[in-house]
Amino acid sequence: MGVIEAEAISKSYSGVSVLEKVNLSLNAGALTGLVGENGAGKSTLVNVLTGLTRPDSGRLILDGRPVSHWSHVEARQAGISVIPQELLLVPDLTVAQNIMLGEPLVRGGLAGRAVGLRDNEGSERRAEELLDEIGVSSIDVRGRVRGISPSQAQIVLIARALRRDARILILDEPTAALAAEERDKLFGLLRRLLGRNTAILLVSHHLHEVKELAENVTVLRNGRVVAELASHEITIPAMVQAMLDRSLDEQFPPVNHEPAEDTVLEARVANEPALREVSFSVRRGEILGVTGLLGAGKTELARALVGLDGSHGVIATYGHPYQPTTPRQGVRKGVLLVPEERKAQAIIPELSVYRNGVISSITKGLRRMGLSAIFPDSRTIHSLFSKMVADVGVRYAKESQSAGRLSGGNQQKLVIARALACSPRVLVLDEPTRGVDVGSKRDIYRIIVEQAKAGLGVILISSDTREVWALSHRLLIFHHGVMATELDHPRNRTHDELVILLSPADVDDLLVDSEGIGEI
Amino acid sequence: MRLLGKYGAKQEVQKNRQIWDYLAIWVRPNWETLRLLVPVAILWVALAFLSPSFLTVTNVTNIFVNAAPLALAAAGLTVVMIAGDLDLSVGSAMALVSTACALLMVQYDVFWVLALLIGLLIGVATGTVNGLLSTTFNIPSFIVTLAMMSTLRGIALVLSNGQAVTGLPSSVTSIATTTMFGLSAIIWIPAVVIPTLGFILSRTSLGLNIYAVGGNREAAKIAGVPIRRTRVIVLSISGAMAGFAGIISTARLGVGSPIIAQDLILDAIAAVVIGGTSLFGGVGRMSGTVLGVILIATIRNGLVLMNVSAFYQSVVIGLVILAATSLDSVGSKRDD
Repeated sequence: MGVIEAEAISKSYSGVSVLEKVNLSLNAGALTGLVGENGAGKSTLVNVLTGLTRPDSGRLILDGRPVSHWSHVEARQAGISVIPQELLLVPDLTVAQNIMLGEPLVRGGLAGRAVGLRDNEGSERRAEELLDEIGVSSIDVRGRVRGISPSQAQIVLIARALRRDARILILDEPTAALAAEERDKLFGLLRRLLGRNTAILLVSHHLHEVKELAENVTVLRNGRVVAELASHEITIPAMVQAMLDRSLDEQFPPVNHEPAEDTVLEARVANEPALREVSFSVRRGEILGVTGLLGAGKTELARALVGLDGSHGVIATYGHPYQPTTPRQGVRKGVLLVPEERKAQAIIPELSVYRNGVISSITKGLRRMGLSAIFPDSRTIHSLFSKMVADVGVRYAKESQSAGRLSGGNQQKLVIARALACSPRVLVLDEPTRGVDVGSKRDIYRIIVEQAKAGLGVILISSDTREVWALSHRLLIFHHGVMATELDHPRNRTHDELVILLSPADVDDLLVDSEGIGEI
Repeated sequence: MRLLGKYGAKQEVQKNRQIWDYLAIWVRPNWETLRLLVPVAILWVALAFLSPSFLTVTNVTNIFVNAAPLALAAAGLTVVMIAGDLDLSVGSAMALVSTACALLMVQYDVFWVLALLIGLLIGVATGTVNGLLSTTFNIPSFIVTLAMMSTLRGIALVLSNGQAVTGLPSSVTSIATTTMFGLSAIIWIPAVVIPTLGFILSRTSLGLNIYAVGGNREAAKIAGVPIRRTRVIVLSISGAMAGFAGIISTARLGVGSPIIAQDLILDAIAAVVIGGTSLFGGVGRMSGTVLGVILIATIRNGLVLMNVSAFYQSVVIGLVILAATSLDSVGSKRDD
């Protein structure tokens, strides 16, 4: 019997189903792996367990008894603790204060109790005990959190969870920010916690880690449990096969046109801290793929191309060089970015679908657009918008509905339509299909190919190697900020060959990425 | 020929249609804003019963004339707050404009129309300076305008030596008594300026940029919105509104005063917030602010008519702000 069991949990957002009758059971002293692609529903499931999201249907069973009311308060009382991906600590408090956060020790005596005087020494002693308990002695509990490393931050969070008598520990991508030896330390710690009968849920893209630690694995795909693997069944191929339904996911449109001879864009990126000097060019109608592992400099390249962090190089469109210092210049010259983070960098949630779609079109100025540049509701701009959202396949109820209410896939398509409505020469797409549903993915691939055929230069930046392998005319592989390899027609090779080139040093990680699951 | 004529006519129609497209302001009823009409209407009906002198032409005119500077300041602030900024210096800018205009006319014998125009420009300039300081040195506008609130008031006091500037030409004071189509000139200024601002917000690219900058600055930047320029413009608009409000106050008082509008900013923020504009930017409507101003002005007027002490007025206004905003957040509570 599990410590906590989720039974037939379903949840949907604005009609899009995120979880469908999902079952999950966590056992004391056992580590359960939860794997799945981006957008498979992992975080929603975690949020249901921790009481942050209320499921539409289904129930939670705690120690064999179904719970009636469940919120983060009850979850915490039940001993559930989450170590989130973003390590949320208060940087200016000490390690001890962070460990004791929420329920600091209070001084004894009448006065101390009445006023709630903080007992700093006591807190520090207790924090040290907790760290001792998990076998860590290298962290100074009196030091501020600001200066500590990601792995130490993780340890602080785990210590805090222990302080709260966590029986159930949920780790979301715990090793994303860790170096190899730190990872080993964390695993040692997790094993000790398992020895103390803690139930652990490990959410991870790193299948070899899951394989190493998990006693059973639940695989999610598109909000459903597609496999529950017991310990002897846990192999990387088994997990991968369950995660990716080839028949659904791998429908890339054929790219059967050749780019034109003329160059639309030449780029030379220099003095960007995360990149060595990089220069390349894009031809009209060419899809230039860019891939690499985390830290390869992909996003930095995207940002530098439109001058998002100030000037980091020279861009030339049709031989006219300029140094972009703000993305506005790019928009006016026809070099547009569809950024990596849809919510934070692309969608303006309170504005309507229409306004979100036309915001870039109006920047072209009076000279080129006449009065339309002043009035976003004018017919010229409206017809441009209508054409683009139809071409890209953005689905919405009303033009006046707020864009924040669209599903992730439709938001992403809206951002692409926004960029295309400016009739760009070059479109820079940074992770365009991350966290996007399968149908929208297909729409996005189709529009990329259609637009390239019509003469658009596309820079497709993605950590999904299958995507760039299938769609690119030419592929640049980055490695620690260096343009390591350039491949013409990557489809002439097998996808696995390409993956070897990503990072020959780290074969273990390659194995994961070779299945196109995500970043290392 | 006939065909050609037809074609020509069609062209003509399309051209006219296009101009109409640019300028069309079809009034789309917005229920969230109109919700505010309910308390305003209840208040007006109640006051009409409670005080026989409330629903008279003189009194109603009086309400609007009194509210004119507040309405202008609140309108400017609405634009600023939608862009995610704040302008605390409006009242002080009004005092500076009032003092400077009066001094120009009285001490330097500047023609009154020119003096008022210069006053307006001073208002715009204070806003532009706010904007440039905030964007250039990357200081939040809250801090910049807090500093300017003190600085501008100080300049006004220094210029006037702390005294009201008297002896204005009669042309200026007569603005307050002039009427057009039965409405005081004092009402005409906000009646023209505020809808214009509303039009800019809801119908123009500048307005769209303002919402975008307040709604998600990073996204707006990547989409090509000129962040810095938009923010400077927004604060300049607020400065211009302070200019108008300063001129109106000068005309009504008949003196240039460095001590006017000391607490105006509080009422202005209250009106904007009651009107549904978000403190975090990206959300808000001019019509909401106008109703917010009317609500506050009516409460102040009604309480005076009913001989309620001015001390209680503050209490009531405070409670109204709490009621309006808490109702709002209850209404907009998300299900996820």
